[in-house]
Amino acid sequence: MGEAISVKDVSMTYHSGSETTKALDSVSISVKEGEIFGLLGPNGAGKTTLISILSGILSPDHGEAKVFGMDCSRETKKVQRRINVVSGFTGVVRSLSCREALTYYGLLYNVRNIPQKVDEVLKMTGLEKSRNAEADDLSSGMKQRFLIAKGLLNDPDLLIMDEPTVGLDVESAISIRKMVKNLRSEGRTILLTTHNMFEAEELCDRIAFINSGRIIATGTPVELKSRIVSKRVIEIHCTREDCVVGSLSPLIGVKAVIKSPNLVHVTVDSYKKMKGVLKALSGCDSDVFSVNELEPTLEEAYLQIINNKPREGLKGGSGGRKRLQESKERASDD
Amino acid sequence: MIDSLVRMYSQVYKNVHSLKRNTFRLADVLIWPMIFLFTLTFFATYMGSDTVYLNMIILGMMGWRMIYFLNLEMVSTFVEEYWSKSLAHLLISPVSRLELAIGSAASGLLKGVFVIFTYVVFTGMLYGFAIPDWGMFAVAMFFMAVIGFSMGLVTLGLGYYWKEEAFNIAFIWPDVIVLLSGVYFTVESVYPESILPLINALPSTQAFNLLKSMVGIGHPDIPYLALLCGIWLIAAYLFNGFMYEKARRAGKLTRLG
Repeated sequence: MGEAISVKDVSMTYHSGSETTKALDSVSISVKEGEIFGLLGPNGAGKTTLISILSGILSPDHGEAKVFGMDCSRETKKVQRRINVVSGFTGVVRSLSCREALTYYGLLYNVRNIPQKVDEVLKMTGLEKSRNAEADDLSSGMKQRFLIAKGLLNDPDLLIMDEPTVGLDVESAISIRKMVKNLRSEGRTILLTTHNMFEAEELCDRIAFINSGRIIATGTPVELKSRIVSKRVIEIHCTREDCVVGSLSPLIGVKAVIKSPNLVHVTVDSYKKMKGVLKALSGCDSDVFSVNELEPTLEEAYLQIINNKPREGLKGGSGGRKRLQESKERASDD
Repeated sequence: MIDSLVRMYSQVYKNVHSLKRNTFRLADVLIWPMIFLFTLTFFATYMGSDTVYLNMIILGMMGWRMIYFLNLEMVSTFVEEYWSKSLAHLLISPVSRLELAIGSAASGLLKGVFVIFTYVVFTGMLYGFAIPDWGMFAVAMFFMAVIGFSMGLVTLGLGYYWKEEAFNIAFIWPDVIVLLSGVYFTVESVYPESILPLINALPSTQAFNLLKSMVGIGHPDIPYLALLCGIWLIAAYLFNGFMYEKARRAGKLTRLG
């Protein structure tokens, strides 16, 4: 599998009067063909600067950015023929219907048989009924679909998606994620930026965390999550939590036991301790309905890696960790 | 080559279709040019101008409209994309800055030709005006178009960096050029002799001299006009490229986020 994106040691500083802002600081990433690569970071981290460089509308101060082996600054037009960008923050050209606007973009990209291609992308994005509506008058969700349709017009080998589901309702976001999955199955390379960790985890093969213009970590979602795991949490649903706490607390390797009604969270230093936990539970005078390992979420991994925060200090995570936090709060209330 | 022409045509397609859907924009070619025409010609007839002077005014207005539409259309095409927040879509596409400039200038040319046609019809009906020499008129209009295109390249270059602020310049500087070039008068009769060499070095002064010569006023110097137009065009193209790269390096070309 070839390399779709190669960014080596790219730096970019913006100047505004006497102020300078280092947007990218020696950034290097590599994206393979056919991969969905996520670029995650807080606002102002440098994501947009990086995709602007890859799109050819910004020249870096230093370093080399290549798409399919072509330099984005020097061979811009060649690069632009093979890519397209879907950005949740851009608007659409005014006073043109969807069909006319897509025809206009088709002309810009020298698309062959434009009417047929326009119909095809309108169908693909579910915009057939809105073909004669003014593109600028579409609702947010429909506008996003329109932008995806525009992004697919030239059959790009690389599609850059900058927060494609930003501001969308749940149904529209699900529909767009489904579209992205379909694009992956067609073998397209996708560079995705998003603030939605669930989306990133669901869609991306690999992810890079970027903060203050630097790549902090790169890996698969599983690899990134595994980086923050120093302790493991086991969740036990039971009838007599006092009994469970009493049985598990003395075990070696158990770091903390927190109870809440019908629920006990046990923090162990390794899941190898699971066997001991199960054995202790078997000797406990309580019905046990379930025993689950709680995995850290990508959101936790993101927050900890980006902010370099200790795991225990995390808040606001979704899924298992969030439930644990609530349990802790309930326990402390008790 | 054909791909390049298609990308240029994209700008004509966009402008024509958006004009169709936005009837208020038709005022640009139907109402304002007519108001402008009648304001000047009514004033000239009220002041008792003779036919030669009236014809010079009409020809001057035609020339100026050509410059105006080319320059304005080039920058308005760009700025409208900026206002629509769709500029990024345009600039990440394979269209080159020259194709973009030529494509939008072509829209301006169409508007200019349309307005000149309406001027010919209305002034013919009202004042019995007729183009004295169509061949010479076409040559003059060609140079007017080159001047308008050169000015558009400069304004577009400013637009790459300053965006909407450049739009104000698009309105102002054709007026300054018109004033200096003596569209409705001979420059020798108005400006001090000391600045005449500077004024005569403007291609627009020479182009309007060519138009005036069609009604027996002024002395045309077509080779000098061609030379000045060539110099302006090259300088404008280089300036446009310089500003494009400057904006691209500074991150001011457009933003995706």
